[in-house]
Amino acid sequence: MKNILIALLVLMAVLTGGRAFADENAAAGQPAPDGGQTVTDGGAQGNTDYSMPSEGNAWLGYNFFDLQGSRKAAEYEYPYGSVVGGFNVVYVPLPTRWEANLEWVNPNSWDADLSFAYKDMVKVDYTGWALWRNYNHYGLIGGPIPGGLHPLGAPRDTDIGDNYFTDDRDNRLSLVLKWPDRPYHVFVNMRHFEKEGTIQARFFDVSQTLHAKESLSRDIDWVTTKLNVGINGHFGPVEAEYSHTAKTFDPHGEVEIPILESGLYPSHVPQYDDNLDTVKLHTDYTGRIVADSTFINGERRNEHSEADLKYRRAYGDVTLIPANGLTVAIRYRGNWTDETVEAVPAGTGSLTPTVTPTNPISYRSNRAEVSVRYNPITVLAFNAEYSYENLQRYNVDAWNAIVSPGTSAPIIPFQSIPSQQNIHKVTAGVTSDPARWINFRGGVEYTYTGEPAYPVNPKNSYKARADVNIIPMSALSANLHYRLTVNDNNTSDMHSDYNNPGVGLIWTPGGPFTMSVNYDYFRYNMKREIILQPPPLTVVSLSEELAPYDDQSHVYSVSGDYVFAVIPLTLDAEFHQSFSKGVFRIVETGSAGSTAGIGELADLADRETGGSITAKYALHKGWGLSATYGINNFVDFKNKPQDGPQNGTAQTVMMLATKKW
Amino acid sequence: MFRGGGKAVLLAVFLAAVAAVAGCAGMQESQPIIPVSEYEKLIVGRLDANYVGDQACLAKCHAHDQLKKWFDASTMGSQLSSDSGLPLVNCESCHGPGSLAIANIRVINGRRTCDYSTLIDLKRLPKQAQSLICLKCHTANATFGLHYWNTSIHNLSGVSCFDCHNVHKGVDLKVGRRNVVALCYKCHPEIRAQFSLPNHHPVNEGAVTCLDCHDPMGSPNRHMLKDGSMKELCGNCHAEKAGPFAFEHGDVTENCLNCHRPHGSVNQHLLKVRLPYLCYQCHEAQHPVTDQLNQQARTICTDCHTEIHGSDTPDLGNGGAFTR
Repeated sequence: MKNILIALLVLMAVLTGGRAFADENAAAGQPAPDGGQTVTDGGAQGNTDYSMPSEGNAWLGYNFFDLQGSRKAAEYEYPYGSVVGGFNVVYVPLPTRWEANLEWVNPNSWDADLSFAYKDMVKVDYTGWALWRNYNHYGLIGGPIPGGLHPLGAPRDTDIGDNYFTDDRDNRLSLVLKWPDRPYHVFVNMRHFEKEGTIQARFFDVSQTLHAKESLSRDIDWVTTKLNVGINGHFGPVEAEYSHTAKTFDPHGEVEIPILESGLYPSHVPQYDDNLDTVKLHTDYTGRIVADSTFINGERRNEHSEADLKYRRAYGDVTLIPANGLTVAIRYRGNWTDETVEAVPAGTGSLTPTVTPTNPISYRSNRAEVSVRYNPITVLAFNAEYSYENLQRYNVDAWNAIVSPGTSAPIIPFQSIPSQQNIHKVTAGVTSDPARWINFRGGVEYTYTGEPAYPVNPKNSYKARADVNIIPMSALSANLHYRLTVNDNNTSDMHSDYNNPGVGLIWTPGGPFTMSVNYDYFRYNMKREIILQPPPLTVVSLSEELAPYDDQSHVYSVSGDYVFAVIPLTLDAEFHQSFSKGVFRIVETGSAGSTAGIGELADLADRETGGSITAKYALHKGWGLSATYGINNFVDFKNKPQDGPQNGTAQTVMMLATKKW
Repeated sequence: MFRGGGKAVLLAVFLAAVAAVAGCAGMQESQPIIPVSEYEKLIVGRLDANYVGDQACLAKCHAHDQLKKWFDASTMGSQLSSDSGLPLVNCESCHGPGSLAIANIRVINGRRTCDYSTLIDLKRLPKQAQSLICLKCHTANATFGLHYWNTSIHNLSGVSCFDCHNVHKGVDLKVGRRNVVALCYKCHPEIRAQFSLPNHHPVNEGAVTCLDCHDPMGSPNRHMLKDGSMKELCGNCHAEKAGPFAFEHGDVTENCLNCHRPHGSVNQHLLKVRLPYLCYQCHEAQHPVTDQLNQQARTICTDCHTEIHGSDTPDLGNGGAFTR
């Protein structure tokens, strides 16, 4: 990737240097060297130089960082101080155009993009970012079980106190080459995504001498690369495109992790290879009838177990405008997958040498949709859509026959996975802009799934949404929104509802002060029958009818800025807080005795509070100074061992010198 | 390789190339199958006006426009320059013929202003007509990313190109990574709040953006999601969980949303509900429950079933319990 970037930068520099050559030709009144269409426009603009000098801004400084307690308070922060810097630059020496941006917080957190264009024949885009992420160190609870039941041993954390993190780096490069004065393109898209760091490996140690929960630290260096190469051309009324994509996930040979008693523990992270070919065709976008189609043929393969997934997809769209203000869209989506697996080695010890897994579920899905949009008048629009999907699953009989270990009860006791599924969906909506000070968007959606695949999938799903934007006075604008989802599945006796009202205000009273306020409330409530004790492992039989689960969250933020009139000082401040709680109430029947159990473990209550204040002082000749103080505090009111300790506070102070030109 | 049948392949490639070059003139033209007559009427401008050229416009009015500097640097602005080598697209391509506008130059608040009322009122056009202003050129230039635009939910919901792209600003008119999230939040305010929940993808932190998962210009999938399936999409960054595996978790993992909320959640790992209740919704507890076992059995299922997204290694019972 680095070599490719360097080669492209050299090419871009050469093309930029070629400007002198182009200038000479232009001065001599000759056509552009690529034979492209030159601007005549009545000869009115031949003397105008539209090139612009470089302009931009840059900054350099230091970011001080302090963390007390859990790294949850700085989940996406590199927990050390560092030099910070960056720039935004635009440089347009026609016929080349450059734009470069870099925001460097530390070696593990940065963001960059670079765009380059030479006429309309060469276009290069690079984007990249790096992000440090801190993870919880989960605790292991419980102890050995008498009577030969699992687990036999006490939980063991080999690396207590280790901090877990990954350093994620994403680099993407896009190159488009266009034939001079012809609508033919060759394009290349590349991606290199790397996740490197130390994570917690938790597992159930099922060696012959120890059956216990284990935890240890595990170094990873996982790399995903993607290469997409294609050609694209416009052939009269039809545009055609072909591309090939190759994607690989490389865990760098990580196949096993060591444990003390059992030697090597086979926790495989396989390499995957994915190859697909895509053909796209579409007609002119501006016709009264516009059609497009896509065909995809691909294969994804697990190089360790040789599990193989072949897939084909066919999409087709037609858009009609039968009358002014009326648009009809018809879509078809076909999706076919066939997955097969080979027998795999079972491991060591007394286990059988090879195991043949249950053949995976494959499926055929066909979906048709019709959408209509009608604008009776400019400020009013109605939308409606109907879609029907038929989904056929294969090999489900084998899956439905799987039973819980030691029992004859099916692994999913509530319902079987259906071999065929029919889904109907109807939506309707309205959009209106009756006046400049108000607009409204609203819609409802109903989905009926005749045979839900799993107990968590709804049979009936109702959704509603509404948005109102109001400007009651020139200094104030408001957004009110509401989202509602109600799901039920009478086969699995599941019912859930999701509510989300919210409001946003922007106040600009004039002068130096602006302020915005946002508030959203989320509530998710679910009731499901659960079975805690399958027969015949009857120590205690527990069946909870409609055990309720409920979580709620309040999220609000306030931000504002103030520009002083007398001195060149600007103040920006921001504050945000979220408060969340979750409750799973279990009312035990039978004789389980202790009430400590799932209900207590699933309790949740936490609060995250953050804010920052920035002062910017402008000096002479584009120079300036900036100072930012930021704080983030996380409080876990139900500090459970399995989540790890989560209370913490992170603080940053960033001092910058800035320059504009 | 090219012996025998290879010559036929070479000949076919040569003939195809000749045919392609011979047909180039026709290929450059936009040729709607059936014209959109009503919308086209909206975007042609005043029929009694004449095209006067950009210099005539800019010298009289727009030369004082504070946007001019950025406009000149934009893809559109660059096309006004013979230096750019770009095909001509000028002010009047979008705003309509300008002779009447500059014929009535007035001075308002000390600034020379042309008669905008004689130009196409772009902001008041129906949304689809707004997009047609752009599409009438971009349909002929094999512009990437527009393949699904016409049937996209954005187009059918009255979102036009103007709502996201500032035609007068930026080197290539794209919405930058740092700006795209704020742009999306303007119409999707609840999503901003979801990304402020205690567990969320790093969108507000500036790493992941809406465009990593969604294609606002259309996609073959619901919610304008990129890639062909949810597993493929999530697998772009979480490839180790995408499979295929020897032991699959049914076909549950084809749709990651069975268990996860992608934007944000009160629960760790973006789970819809907290463990172990999440698992108990489909599976009954597989372990005996006694006083002694209460804490042990009623715990985080993934403490033991670590490889819940799929595994290549059988568990102790030679099945797919995802314990290793």
